[in-house]
Amino acid sequence: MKMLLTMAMAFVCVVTQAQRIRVGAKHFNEGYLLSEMQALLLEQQGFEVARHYNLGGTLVCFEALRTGAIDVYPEYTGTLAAEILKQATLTREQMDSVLRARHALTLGNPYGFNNTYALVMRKRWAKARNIQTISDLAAHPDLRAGISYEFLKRQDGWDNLATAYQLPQLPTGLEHGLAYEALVNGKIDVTDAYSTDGEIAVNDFLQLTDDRNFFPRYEAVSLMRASLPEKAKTVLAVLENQLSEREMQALNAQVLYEKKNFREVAGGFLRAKGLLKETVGGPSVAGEVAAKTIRHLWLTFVALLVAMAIAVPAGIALYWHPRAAQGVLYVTGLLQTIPSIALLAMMIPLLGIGVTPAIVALVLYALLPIVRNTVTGLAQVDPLLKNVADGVGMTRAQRLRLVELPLAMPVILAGIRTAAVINVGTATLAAFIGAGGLGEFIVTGLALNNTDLILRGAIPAALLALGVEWVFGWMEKRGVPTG
Amino acid sequence: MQINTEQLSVCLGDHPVLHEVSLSFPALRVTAIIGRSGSGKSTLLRAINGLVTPTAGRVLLDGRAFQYEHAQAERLNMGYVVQGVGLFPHLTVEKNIAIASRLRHFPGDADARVSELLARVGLPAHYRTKYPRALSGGEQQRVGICRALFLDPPVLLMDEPFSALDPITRADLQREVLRLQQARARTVVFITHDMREAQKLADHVAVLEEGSLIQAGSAAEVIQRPQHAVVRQLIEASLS
Repeated sequence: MKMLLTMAMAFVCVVTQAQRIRVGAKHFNEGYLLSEMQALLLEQQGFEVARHYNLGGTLVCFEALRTGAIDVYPEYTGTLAAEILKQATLTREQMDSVLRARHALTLGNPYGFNNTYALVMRKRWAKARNIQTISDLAAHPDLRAGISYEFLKRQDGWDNLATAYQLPQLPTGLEHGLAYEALVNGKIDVTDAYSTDGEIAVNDFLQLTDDRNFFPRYEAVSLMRASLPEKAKTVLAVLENQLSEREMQALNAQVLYEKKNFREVAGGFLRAKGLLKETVGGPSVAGEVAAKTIRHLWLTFVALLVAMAIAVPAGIALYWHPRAAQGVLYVTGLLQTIPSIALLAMMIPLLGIGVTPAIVALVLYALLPIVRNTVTGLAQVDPLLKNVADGVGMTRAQRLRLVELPLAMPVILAGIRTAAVINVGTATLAAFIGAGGLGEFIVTGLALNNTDLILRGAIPAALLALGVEWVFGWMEKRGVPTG
Repeated sequence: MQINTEQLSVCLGDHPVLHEVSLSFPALRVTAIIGRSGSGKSTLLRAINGLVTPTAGRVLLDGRAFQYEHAQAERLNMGYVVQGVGLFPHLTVEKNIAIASRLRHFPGDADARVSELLARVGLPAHYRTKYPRALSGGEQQRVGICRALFLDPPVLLMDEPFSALDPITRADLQREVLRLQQARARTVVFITHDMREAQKLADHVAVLEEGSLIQAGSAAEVIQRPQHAVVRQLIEASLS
């Protein structure tokens, strides 16, 4: 047990500390495409690249970069100014010097397109009501605004937009990838969009004119650590002025509507521009599923082993000191009620992104069922047997080892089983902080509104959960003979 | 080994359970502690092997005070048999009997000792690999006695050992105890609420009522000359 644990911890350290260039990506289509371009270019020049895609939003990405968990990711100038530096009026040069001074980060030159925020509606519906600009919305308080979670919270997002344009609508929050479908189906009437989104062209949506120039410019740039090798900065600089808005829309549409793999699309574009020599194939589905399943199991079981190593002794201690038990169980119960995505987000300032914070979060979730079942299992052992154990001359430790633990084992195993199943499920969310696993399919699938991709992660995850149930059920059954 | 209690008092919480009990359990003899439910019999037995710590008074083993800080070691000299037997359900018969060999270094051959004990209580040798749930109540209590005798302790404490058994099995086991005692005499203390059982097995009888000793003496003496209404009632209830 101890050896396994040491090995697991060593493995965690190796994974997180290896020296290479770590490319991050926000979990949306364009994020994947731009990050993949960065990664492919770096690989072509002989760099080893670790991909940390699916990072949950701007703050997660920026925190990851600031704390050194990743080295580079594509960011938008408007987002940097409004969201991170909180000074919407800064020029790109000013931002670069502030970022260098405060965070040892630096900006590359723009890729060429401006992916501004926009509000979009169904074209015919808008025409019928004579809506063309954002100002026109103020006269229609009844229309339903479905707004992405990130846009709801941003400085340059809904609240300030609504104030600037005096919009009366109360928005509903939803996932950006799902908003278009809701709009097409008439479940909502207006949503926020990125002006390079492939959906706008394909669905013939109307992009409302920003008639009061509320939105700043959102030019895509490479945001990187200043300490990145000069050679790598030069490699990334080749993306400068290579992408127009229409090109970006086309690339986005290829991934979204032709369901092409973003890696192939990114590679194809770079080749067409003469920036990449080799053709890039998509990864094999089976291989990818297998690799992600293995990573998923690995995350789950390392966390489970660590949790067991903490929770079983803790359960024993609480059984011996029942006065402390109530308080401790209460606290572990509280941990359980923290929404998983919030707990993962809380880990980032402490532990950065990647495997370590994911495992810590999974361990915290696994604690309660194991501690609680250990205490309950030990307390439930027949008092007659405890009396006899004392009567034949056992010490407290001998009684625990020879009588109480073996008899409590089915209950403790049931707790471990619950923890394992919770972990298999929660580990899918670990993808949001770049820990990998089957959740990558689900998060990417959600971002791309690609059901195939979602199922590619969800089905193996569900099967894993069932498998874990089954294996533990079998262990419990053939475990310890009782009464 | 001679056991004495001197002014032994036990309180559980605020509740007094035993009150200044002074008693002598002669070496190599069988003594019955008898009394109604709640009279403090079990507590007296559990004070003798240190499962409860007296609030006042002391327990003497061959004149030496029981050392409560080394209670586990003291208990290895005292076999302990209880009502309901309490065999460990996850261990086979042989592992139950030889459990003491896992607590301390056992100098002898544990397997041979298990065989010897099984034979002595009349259980077939192949029972050693069975689990307790496969045994009848009487067989389980025989195994319980084997477990108590594994280290060949000078003292055997039995807390209502036979009261959960049917009358025929009970009579069998009573005979078994007498045979064991004839083969190798030790200081036996057993609890019963049945005066007939006391008469059959015990040389000496001590009667408890509400935590106090109300009469003690040879079995014949107590039965022929009860000195307290409760003693009389106990005799009438069991023997008439």
